[in-house]
Amino acid sequence: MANLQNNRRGRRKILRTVLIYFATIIAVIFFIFPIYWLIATSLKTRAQAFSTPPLFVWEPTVRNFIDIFLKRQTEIEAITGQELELATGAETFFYNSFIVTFSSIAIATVIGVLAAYSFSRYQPHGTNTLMFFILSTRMLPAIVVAIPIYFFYRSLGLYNTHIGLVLLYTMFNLPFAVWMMKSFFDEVPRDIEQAALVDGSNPIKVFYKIALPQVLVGLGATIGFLIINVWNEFLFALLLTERATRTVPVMIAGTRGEVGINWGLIAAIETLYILPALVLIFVLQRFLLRGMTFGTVRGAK
Amino acid sequence: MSLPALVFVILFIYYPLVQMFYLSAFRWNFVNPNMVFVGLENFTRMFLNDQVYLRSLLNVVLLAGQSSAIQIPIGVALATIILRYRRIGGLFWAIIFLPYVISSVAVSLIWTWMYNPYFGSINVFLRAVGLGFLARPWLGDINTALIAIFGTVNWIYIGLTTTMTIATLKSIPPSIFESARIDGLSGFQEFRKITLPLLKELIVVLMIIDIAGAFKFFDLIWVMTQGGPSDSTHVTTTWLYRAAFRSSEPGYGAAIGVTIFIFSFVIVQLLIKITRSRLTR
Repeated sequence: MANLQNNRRGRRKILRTVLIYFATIIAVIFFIFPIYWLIATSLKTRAQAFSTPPLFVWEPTVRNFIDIFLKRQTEIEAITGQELELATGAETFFYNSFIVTFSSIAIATVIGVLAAYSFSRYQPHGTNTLMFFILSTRMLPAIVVAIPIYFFYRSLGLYNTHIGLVLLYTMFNLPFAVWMMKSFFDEVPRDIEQAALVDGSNPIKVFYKIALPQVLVGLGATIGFLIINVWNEFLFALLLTERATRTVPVMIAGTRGEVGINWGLIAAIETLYILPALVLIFVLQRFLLRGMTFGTVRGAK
Repeated sequence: MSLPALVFVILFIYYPLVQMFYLSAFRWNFVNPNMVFVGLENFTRMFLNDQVYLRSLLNVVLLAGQSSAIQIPIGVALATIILRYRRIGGLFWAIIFLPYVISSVAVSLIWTWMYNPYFGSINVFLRAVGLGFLARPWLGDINTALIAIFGTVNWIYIGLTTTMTIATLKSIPPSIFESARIDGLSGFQEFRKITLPLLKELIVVLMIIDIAGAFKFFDLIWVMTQGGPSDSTHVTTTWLYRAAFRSSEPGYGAAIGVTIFIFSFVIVQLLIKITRSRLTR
């Protein structure tokens, strides 16, 4: 009798495990398929990309990845029959995205780390209000400042410049950098720093000799999340750039996925474009909770 | 040391914000930059005569509502599974989180292709399994465009909801679950008796975040439909962009911006009120 019951329970357990695995597989397919399809398309010729029924087995080609950098616009137009904004090759857009991301993150990190350290250690008067104020700026829609910023940039000559985007992205990412780095500084015991200060060490020296080395991993994680944020920004890049400074997302958005365009070429650009985020998310997995929930839910630091 | 951060915030947030309130009382365009003072006319026009603006507000509400209704239950279920089956859970978590971290523009284009009437994977799939009569130009059809957008939205944000839930569930000391298991509670009982009560606050927070998020939403709709067909998929942000920079009415756009700011401000205050004790810890 007991045996029978055990058997039944065992069978039910197996059934449940099978169901959960089945559901998991369906979910994985749902989440992965569009990304798989993008990467697959980037490895197909134009004819293969448009074939019906779609090809699941084909001889992959890296032709698209070469063409987006080496072919000039006239050649691409000859192939696709459409005007495509690849006049100087995709490297211009990647270069713009890279410069803007790198510079703004460098500035945001330096200023953000300093601010986070002072919030964490010295708790200047009104620290709570300030932290809270910095956070609320992040939660408000950026588009509400789009119109004034546009005119502001036009009149200052910052429109269509790298430096203009860099300043703006620095601003957008400072709150995150401060918030995240403060949480890492808060975790480091301050005894050593205090001892050094009592011994008469220079506070600035204490900061970069003692405090900073202890949060290097956190600094790396913060920079990783900043890269994802800036690399993906679209609205202000759309608003404030023209051909010379256009970043990758604005360029690919311009194609609007229309038929007739060579999907393989756009897919190749998109694949290269999403690659950093794909890699970063697996590297940063350990910090996901801190980096993404931003203090809004319980349990997230 | 925090001074440089403050300078940036004032220059790029405060100054433009004040400026926007000022601009919303004027009418001018990019060709003729003579600013005419019109008082509150932009606002009366918006609420009394602008059908698309009202529609965009409705779409924001629909977007927030469907996000809460679909993403929260699925997110909670997935988080529970991930925490229960830790061995494959970590990888699974990273996978469902992928759509959120890759560029929203890239995502929009991928899904625009998938919804393509001729070559899109969705129609191809429907035809392959004999449901060809359901195939349609998803984004071009006024009846399905918004639903198609919502599908993509859920694909992106379920990973984030799951992550938020995991953070909350992880704050529960594991000993509670252990003693529950010793007491012989089944998985479902465990969920109902321990997990659900703790999730109540989370659910409120997530709903507020969904509403705030709906007012921030821009990239996806701008790339997938630009508000079309027949302006049926606009949200407030895309309508602002269109009014200010495509229809050359920056004053009217600024007025729309003022309303977005006010709505969002109220919502964010609500969120901060709930989470403040933890934010300023």
